[in-house]
Amino acid sequence: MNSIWDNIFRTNGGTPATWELLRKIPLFSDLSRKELAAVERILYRREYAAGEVIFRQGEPGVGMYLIEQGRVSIVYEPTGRVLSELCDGDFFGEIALLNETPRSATARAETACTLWGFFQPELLGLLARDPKLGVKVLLPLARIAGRRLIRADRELQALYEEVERLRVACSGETAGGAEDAHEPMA
Amino acid sequence: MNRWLKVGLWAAALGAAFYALAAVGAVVKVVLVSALLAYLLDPLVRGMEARGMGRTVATSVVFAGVAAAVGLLLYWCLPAAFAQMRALQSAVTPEGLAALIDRTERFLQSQSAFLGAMDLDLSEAIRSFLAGHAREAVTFVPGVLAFLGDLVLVPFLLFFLLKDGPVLRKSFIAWAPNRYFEFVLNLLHKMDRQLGNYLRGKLITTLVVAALSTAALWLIGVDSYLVLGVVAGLANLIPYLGPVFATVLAVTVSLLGGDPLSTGLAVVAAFVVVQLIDNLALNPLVVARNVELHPVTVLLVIIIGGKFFGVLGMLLAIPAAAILKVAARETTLIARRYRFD
Repeated sequence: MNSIWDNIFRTNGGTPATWELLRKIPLFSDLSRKELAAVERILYRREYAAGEVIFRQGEPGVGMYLIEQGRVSIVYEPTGRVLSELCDGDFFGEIALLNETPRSATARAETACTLWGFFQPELLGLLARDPKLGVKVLLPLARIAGRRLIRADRELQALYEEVERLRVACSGETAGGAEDAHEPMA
Repeated sequence: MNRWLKVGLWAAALGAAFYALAAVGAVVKVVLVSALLAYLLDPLVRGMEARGMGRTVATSVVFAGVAAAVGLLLYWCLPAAFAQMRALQSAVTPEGLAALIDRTERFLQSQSAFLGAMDLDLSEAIRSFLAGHAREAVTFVPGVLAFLGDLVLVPFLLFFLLKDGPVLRKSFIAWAPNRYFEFVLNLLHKMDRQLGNYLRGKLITTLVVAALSTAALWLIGVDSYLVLGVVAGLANLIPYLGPVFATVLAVTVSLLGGDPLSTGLAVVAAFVVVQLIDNLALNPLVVARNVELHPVTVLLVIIIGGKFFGVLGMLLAIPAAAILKVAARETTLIARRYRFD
């Protein structure tokens, strides 16, 4: 019977050690211990071997991963170009947490990794059950996503300017070339 | 591995699992019923959690509420239901049925006299059939009640499945290998979205149809209104056949009890109205995502359910078929989007 009473009075939600690990992740840095315990209940702790694929480009995405320890590379499949390398405390795949979209790149464990998976069904459940905590998790996520958007915007702007500069240079060159072609006739 | 070989192996494994389940039938029934109830009641617990209650407290509150409601209902209705059932069993005899058929035959002959003298000889045709089957149909209810008697385990299982549902779900998903992990998570989420509403809708319609039928039969003045009303509600789980069965049973029992033909007609009219309410008002209101099953599928799964799990199997065959259908559909739909080797 003891196990029955243990079950009834058990508080699911990990140990202080896991809470400290979770608190290192920027998304959860402002949460209290009680909130961390609640968040830990909806996260999936997964172990990956070096070289193992975490998710593949083009497959449906259902959520994001937070890196407890290890190194993960994000690879653009057709070319095999490494888009970024992430390590302890970083997270990736966050777009899929909010929108169900196909993965835009492949994630691969470069070393043995311990990851925390945070998925849309769990986020939606948390928002319904504990909206206050849901907002506390969503707000930093939105801020980081916003920051990434600003960075992407800036990079896009720089690319535009580069393209524009090249176009001008190119048209100048062809115009120059035309002038050159004209010159002998003059 | 060859694709068809794979499919064949899966089918064989499923078949073996099904046989194993049927072999330990009684236990499986109890676990399945508890799991289904826990799944149906889960939104209530989550709602309480949203108001700031812990899972254990919320589960206890919901559990106590349901136990009180069921307890009160049984306290008020069970003695009457048992009395009605005993009366019913003594009324439904081969001799009574024969008399009823003769009455029907005489009535039909008198009504169709203008067609000339006809020897319908209904008795011979129907008597042998009904005498065998009507008793079965009536023992259906004691069968369900006998099962309810075996259900002492259900409250116990229900409490823990309800309280630990999210933990169990999580450990089930965590058990999937890395390559299939997101797929399993995605699949369960999609199935939950499609089935949760459908199954809860079915529970609500069953309760409402049972209540409406009981009330209608009571108003009409049928003696065994409680038993027949509950049967009508349960039978409503079975599309097409269920309502017809419930109507035929109610009319037969009412006529056997010595009620006039007008009562029988009133019962038919009342059940038609209940069906109209169910299909035109109730179902669109509470079942947002219906799971369509072909009539042939319905018939087959009811026969299979009855064969393996008896009356309860027949009642749960349709929800089970809906679960399997959604599972198969979503598995193929989602698996197609993953590049499994």
